[in-house]
Amino acid sequence: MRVNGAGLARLFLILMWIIAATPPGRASGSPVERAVTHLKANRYQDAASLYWDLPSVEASESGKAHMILGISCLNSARLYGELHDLSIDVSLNYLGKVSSHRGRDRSRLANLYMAEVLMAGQDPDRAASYYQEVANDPGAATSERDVARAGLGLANFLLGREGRAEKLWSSVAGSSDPEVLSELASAFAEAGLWNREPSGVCDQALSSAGRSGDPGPMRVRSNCIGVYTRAGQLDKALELVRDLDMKAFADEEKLGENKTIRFYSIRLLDGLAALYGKTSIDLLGKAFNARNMSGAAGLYLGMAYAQMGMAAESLAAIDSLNNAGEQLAAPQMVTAKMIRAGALHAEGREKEGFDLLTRTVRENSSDPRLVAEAVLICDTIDSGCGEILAAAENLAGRREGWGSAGINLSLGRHYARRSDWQKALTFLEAGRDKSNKNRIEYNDPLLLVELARAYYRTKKYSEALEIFFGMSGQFPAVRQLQNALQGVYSVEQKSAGDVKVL
Amino acid sequence: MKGKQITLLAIFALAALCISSNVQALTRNDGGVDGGLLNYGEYGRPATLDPITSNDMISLRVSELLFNGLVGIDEKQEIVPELAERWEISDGGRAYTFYLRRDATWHARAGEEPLPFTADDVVFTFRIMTHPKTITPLKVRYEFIDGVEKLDDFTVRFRLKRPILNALAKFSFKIIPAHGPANPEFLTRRDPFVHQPIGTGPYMLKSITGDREVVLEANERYFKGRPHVDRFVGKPFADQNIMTQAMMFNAIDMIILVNPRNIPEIQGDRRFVLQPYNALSYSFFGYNLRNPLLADRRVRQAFTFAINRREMLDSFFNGQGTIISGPFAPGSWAYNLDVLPLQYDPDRARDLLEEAGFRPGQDGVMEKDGEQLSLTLKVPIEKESEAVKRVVLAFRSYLRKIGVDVRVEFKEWLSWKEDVFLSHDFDIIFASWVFDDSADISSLFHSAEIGPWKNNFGAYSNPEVDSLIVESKLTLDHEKRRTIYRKLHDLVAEESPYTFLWTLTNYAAYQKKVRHVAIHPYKYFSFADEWYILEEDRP
Repeated sequence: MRVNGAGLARLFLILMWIIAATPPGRASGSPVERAVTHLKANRYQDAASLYWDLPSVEASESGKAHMILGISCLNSARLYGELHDLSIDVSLNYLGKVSSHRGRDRSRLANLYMAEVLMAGQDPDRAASYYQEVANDPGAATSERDVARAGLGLANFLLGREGRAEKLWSSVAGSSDPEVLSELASAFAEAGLWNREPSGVCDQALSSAGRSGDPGPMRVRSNCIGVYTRAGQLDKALELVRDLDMKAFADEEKLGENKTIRFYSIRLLDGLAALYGKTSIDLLGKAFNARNMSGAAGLYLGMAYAQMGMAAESLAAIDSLNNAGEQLAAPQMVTAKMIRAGALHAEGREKEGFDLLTRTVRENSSDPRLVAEAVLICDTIDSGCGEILAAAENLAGRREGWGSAGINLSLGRHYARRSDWQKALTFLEAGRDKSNKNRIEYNDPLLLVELARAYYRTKKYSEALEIFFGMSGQFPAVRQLQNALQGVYSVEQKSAGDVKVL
Repeated sequence: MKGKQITLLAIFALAALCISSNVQALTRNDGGVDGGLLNYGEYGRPATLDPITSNDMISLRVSELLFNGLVGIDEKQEIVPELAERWEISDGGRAYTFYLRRDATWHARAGEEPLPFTADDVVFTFRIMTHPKTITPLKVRYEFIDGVEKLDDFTVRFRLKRPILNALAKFSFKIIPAHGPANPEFLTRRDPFVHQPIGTGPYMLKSITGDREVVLEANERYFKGRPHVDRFVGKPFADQNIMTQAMMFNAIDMIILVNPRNIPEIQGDRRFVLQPYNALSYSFFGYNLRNPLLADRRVRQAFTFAINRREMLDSFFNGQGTIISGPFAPGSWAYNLDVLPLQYDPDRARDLLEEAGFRPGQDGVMEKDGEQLSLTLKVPIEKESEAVKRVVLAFRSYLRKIGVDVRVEFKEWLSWKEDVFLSHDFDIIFASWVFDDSADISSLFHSAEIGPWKNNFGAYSNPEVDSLIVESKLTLDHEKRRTIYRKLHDLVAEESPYTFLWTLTNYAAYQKKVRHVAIHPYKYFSFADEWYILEEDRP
């Protein structure tokens, strides 16, 4: 499942402003207040723990609680989506290096994980050949071959070879191995074959994975998070995530006394992105219906739909604000226009969207928050954004330090998407709080991920690794990136072996 | 004697062939402009200036401006030609043949003509570097080379004992001239060459002033083209805050390593650029295991449990760093992410000391067999910044709470190095290591590296660690090497020959007038020949 369709921008730069405008809760130190504190410090995972306290939140705070949770989930969705994209890039590089090793101690599992990453990267054709190799490998364990067959079935299905897919799925349907079952469930869900009841297959996989309370191997849990999310069973998916050790590996392959390779599930990040995205829509929808929250919540709801690639719903959420005669403050009005512009463009009404975007920027060209947002929308537009970029670069040149983080992040992202890594780094570094280089409390985690991407692409691996090291406390799911990056770095580094006293 | 004269005559003949009497600067066509002066601030001063005997970062950086290797490593981690213009690898990775440039010359000494760089210099460098009496930490790195032979004046072949990972990168070691050292057999810190070196690099040593400033001048004959900036001056500072103020008042143009506490001040000033460069480094308290009191692992672990690293990092460095758990930096590919730093637990520390047989004496200091747990901590005075002073005093205070008496001695840098690396006269040191990307800890913890001027200053010895280090050097499999390094991390963390502290944020700062600045994360000045200052920006 891919989150965030191409059409809409990530309207995240205004989040903090709205949080600041949110009236403080009555009880200091209440779960809601704690969540606000966590959210302001970009600790989305900690903030999301409010979800489990919702039943005890007073009715008068319910709207705010849903709003804060919705924003936390929206931010999480965006972050995990970015991490997922980067993980595909890095994992392909790493697994390619691992699978190129030949000899008695060569890895078998590398091919299986390579196939999964290729599937995540929307390349079922190449994935199929890796799956095939595992499925035909007589040295592989039965469960590994069956997992590969289930994946190969999905690759075939996506390539339009449904008959072959069915044959492959049938060949493993009798398995009682929870990993195979969850793989089948994942394949059915991704293929949209709801008549095969993928949720039920996941229930079966989880229950056979172990004793009650032991939700089983990482592959099973990652697969089932995705399956339940696609099925709209968000509570079940959130329950799985609740106690999940997100830094856990999915497989460990011992290839001798001193050679052990760990493999991580790429589906985890995608599953988390989708789960948090859908949950944010659910929560923000509830906030939208609560008293005193509807204006801001409507804006966020529009953003959340945009994040999930649901342009029509995004547009409807914004329009419903206007139709309901919501009294939005001036900055919120501008935000609404931006969301609308992005949604119109994604809906295929490019000219209308672009005109609204350009007009809004012209009217607010000294507002770095808005111009930054416009640059993000421009990322999805091939041409015609020269004026907006010029305005953005002009504003960025007049501002330095963390106060300019938003506009520099937008410009950094813009150039990164065009593979102009040096320019991207210049802007991203300009937006970084250098006194707190890798701390999420002082830097938008998305800026750090963009920096990590740019440093990875420019082969400054240690910079990227330090970023993930800093993020891993709050977002332990970055472990898969750390592992793959370390693997790439160990091969690509070319140094003499020097060490000196500082 | 006659043979030597003939060799010298041949060298001069070659020199005459290679060098035009009408010296013209080799210009670059990279868009930069020549001229200007760049003053850079270093926290401390170099011990020696040659690439063989030095083992500190300040020396390494100067060496990078003065010397070249056979190969270099560019910004994209690609191996590129330097003194060798091409190479061939044969015999299954056991033979490396280098074809040398014919246009490289050695910096001229006063009153002399520059001599050409030849194969003799390469052979000479390898032999002097590996001579048993040469003072250098480099030998362990080149034990895989069986020998080197000169095939002709501009061709050399290295034979390897076995193929190794990243062998070509190892040939980035700096070449020194055969006519450089006074003693052509082996090199020590008494040889005048180590203080007045000549190389083939973009800059030539002009002088060392009375204030210990290192003045370097552009090498007009540099084979890659004359470097743009006329002169580099390395200015030593004993205080990082003063160094920052010097840049604020334009007395220097660049700070190599910014004090983390000064980052906000510099970041807020539009005249400067703050540039991260991730040298893989960390700070530690290192123990001398020759002292029977420190030979017991439980005592060393107790020290680690006794100190509150988070509190120190937050209080003294504004939290600008990362607490580490073992012998690799967290930005390294070798860091074992499953090994977590020991948590502050003074009760556990006391328990460990008691398990090791210590009991509180009358004055509260722990004793065992009538001997007090009283130790000397030596710190180089150049590193006596306010923050470092606080760290060592805090360390003393934390240890006092568990009944350990620590006396802190600040020593002058060279004297500290002699105490630590030569005479091993210390109980505990506070220091930092910096690694290149290879994250090679073999010289720090292999038992063969115990001895004068070697990096295993604390005499740590563990056969399992030795065996893993050897295996990591023998393997050609990157994943196997990663696994071994993860095990090493785990083992060394458990054994605690050091109390591993933290990695601090690394930023360089420079005036915006210095253009096209790219910084090598370890060697720093690798690309400094391309930096330039526009005429209108010069004073």
